Amino acid sequence: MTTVETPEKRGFTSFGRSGWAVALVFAFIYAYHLWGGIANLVGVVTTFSEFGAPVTGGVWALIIAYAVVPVIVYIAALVVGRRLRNVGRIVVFLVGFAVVAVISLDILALA
Amino acid sequence: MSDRRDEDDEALGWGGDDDPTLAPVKPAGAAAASPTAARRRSGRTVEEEADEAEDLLAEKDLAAAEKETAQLSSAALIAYGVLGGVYLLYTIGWVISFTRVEIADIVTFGTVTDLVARTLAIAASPLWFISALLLTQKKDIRWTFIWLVIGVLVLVPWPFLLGGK
Repeated sequence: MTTVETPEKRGFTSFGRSGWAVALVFAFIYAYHLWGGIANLVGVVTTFSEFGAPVTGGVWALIIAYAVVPVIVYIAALVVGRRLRNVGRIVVFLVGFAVVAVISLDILALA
Repeated sequence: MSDRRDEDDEALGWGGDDDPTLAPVKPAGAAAASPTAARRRSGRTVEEEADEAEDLLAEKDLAAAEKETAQLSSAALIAYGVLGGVYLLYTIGWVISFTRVEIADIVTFGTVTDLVARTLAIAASPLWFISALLLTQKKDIRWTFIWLVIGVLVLVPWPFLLGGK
């Protein structure tokens, strides 16, 4: 009964090696989405130029948002998981991975 | 726990034994003063002091345990049900949007990634719901609801609602 439970404030300093290892692994996994986004960006711009149509501001916004979504969600997952244990961080990253797909499809639906 | 220790409950005490070295071991966190000093100060016996400290500690432990295993209020249960229903509808919406895709004859990198993304989108809603419940279970219940509400805002199946694929 002598153990006094002090709720630890777990910031980024508590990530430790394993925490950053998790973050790094998921950085590569998220790169899959990022790759798709950049491929889409290049593809759209190429297609537009093939048809000689100027890429409008709205289209730029959509394709850039599409490419940037994985980065934003990754950072969000990193921040959300900063006070969790590694298992929690992995769960957050996995959910984030699915959320990237959701937002990407939302953007496609808007386009 | 309201049953205070009975003064007559001799089975649990050493009534009349004034030797401080025979006093029951006080649990940690009880009065720090030595038994004799405490006795001199308050005029109570060591046994009474120890009993009281023990009672207080037991009550504190019980309150903490009760708080940990507290039942959900009915309002919280209903809210869980409603939110769970929303997540279920979202999942169905994503499934329907998946079924609208016409599988291309020629399989390219693009078609594969598209199918992967749509599969992930179906999984997103249940994943978010379960993770929100699991990861916030040790925190205050309002955190669970905050995360569930954020999920409801993020996971809206726009492709389904907009009628496209």
